[in-house]
Amino acid sequence: MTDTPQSPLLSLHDVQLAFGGLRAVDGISFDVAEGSITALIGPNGAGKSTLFGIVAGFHSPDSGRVVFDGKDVTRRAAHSRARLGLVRTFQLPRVFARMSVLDNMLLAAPDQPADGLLWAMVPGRGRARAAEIETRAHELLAGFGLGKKSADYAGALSGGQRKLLEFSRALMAKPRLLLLDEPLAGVNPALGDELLAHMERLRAEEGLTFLFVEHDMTAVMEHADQVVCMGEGRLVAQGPPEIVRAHPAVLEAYLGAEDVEVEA
Amino acid sequence: MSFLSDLGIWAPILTVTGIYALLALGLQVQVGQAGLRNFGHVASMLLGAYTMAILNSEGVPLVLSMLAALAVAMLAAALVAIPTLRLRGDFLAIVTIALAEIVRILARTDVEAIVGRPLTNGPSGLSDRTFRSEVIKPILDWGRDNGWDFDRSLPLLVIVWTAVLVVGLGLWALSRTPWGRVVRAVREDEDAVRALGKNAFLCKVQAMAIGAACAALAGCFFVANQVQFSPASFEPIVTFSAFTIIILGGLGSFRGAVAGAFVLQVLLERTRYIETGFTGEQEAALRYIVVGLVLMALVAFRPQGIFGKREELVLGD
Repeated sequence: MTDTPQSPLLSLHDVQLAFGGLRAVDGISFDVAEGSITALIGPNGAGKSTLFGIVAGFHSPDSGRVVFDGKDVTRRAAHSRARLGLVRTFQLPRVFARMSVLDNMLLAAPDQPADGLLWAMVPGRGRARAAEIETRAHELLAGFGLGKKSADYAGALSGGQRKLLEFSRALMAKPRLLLLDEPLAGVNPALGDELLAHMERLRAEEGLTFLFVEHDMTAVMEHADQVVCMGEGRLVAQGPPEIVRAHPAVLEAYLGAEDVEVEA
Repeated sequence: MSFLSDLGIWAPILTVTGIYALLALGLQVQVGQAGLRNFGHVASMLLGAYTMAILNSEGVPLVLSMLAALAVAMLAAALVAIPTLRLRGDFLAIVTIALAEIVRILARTDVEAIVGRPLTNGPSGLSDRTFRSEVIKPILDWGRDNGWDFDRSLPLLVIVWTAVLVVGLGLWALSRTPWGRVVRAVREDEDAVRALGKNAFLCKVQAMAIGAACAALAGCFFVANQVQFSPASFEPIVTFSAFTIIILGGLGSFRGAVAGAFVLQVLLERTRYIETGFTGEQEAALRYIVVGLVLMALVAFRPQGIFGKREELVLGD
């Protein structure tokens, strides 16, 4: 499954970001091959979430470059990266609470001309597209077991259902690379397995690429083709799971940190 | 037709109600739909009012000066929005209230030093002689000139409420488009909107501009309804009244904005005509006490407002 990468879908070149004196991300470079699953691990405070923010366009790096699909996107706004197919989820699922589950899904669809104010003012414009989008949304919701919830307020969903909604909503945005920030955090084991199965299936069926931050080492070792380990803002190790797992620097990064959760 | 020839106290009350309804409709887009706490809404009304009055007195046709009034207010709102919309929640509220005060105080000191000629006429404001008689009078007297005997305030009343209807329906229709969905999503979680590929920032600027246009329209009608107006007519209390209206009517609901305007104006104005035996000063205070009590009762027994959705209140942050 680990193809030899021709040109990577995502590559980071010496990315740095400091908050005051704290070097949150300190010279990170790595590639993510198209169709691969890459896990980003590291102890708490290693800079994973910040790096995630940089990739998705929520933080602007002090230096370095983010290249997606051959385009330098370092200075692009988050929404414009998402349109290229670089779509993120959040550590705590962020659903639009006072909107219906279906509306949450519909919103995420790209290529709806009436998302723009001017086209929205033209009656009937976007109606044809709306029908397509709705069909797709219902398919996805059914696939994620949310079929019966589509008319409910998203805010009325349970934590696990919100996680599923956020995942399926991200898929509505037609991603090429899905950035998942701790997809298994706060999720019961059965649901976690379901999410991981969805990930594998989407990669196999649709060639989707994944980059995910995760603390659950079993999931990382079983599902990732490549593991990148960060510690104190730096890249500690990278490579196939079995290599990274046994890497002394990785062990040190975890054991040196306060909470140890490496073995599983 | 006899009641049309003398609408009595209801004509002025309903005209002002319509003006407040327009103002509140604009605020509903910004606050209720987009979640932008704009506490400087009255500034857009002021810009609309002055732009129309000044252009009118310069001989610009009525419709053109109204369009210019809307354009000026929208442009100002968009310009202000660009630096300030990066602020969230309460910070935006503080900055906008300050900006509105700056605009009002500028109008009061007149901008002669800047533009080289008197424009807003300082604290005494603009009066009948400068615009109303020539421009508004033909409209007010339209019925009489055509030999119909109806109340002189009827034409303006009809125009204002036609505008309320058109604007209200228009905004409601717009809120049901995909664009309206993005606006509501921005209210819920702006970062998630950006992460899904929608330009949340542009959307907020647009919501601000649309709200400002409604306020400017309210300003134009306000001018048409007054013999005289001055910067004192645009104190922050006007913005607060608009907030009261949308809370009364229900956040996010357009018919709520209209209903809320009606309730507030009837409470504030209709009660003027009730014989109470109190002095005028006491009555004025009493009216606001009544409004306060009604608001408190509403928050206690129907916190979502007249047309708001209870679920949305519970699910909101």
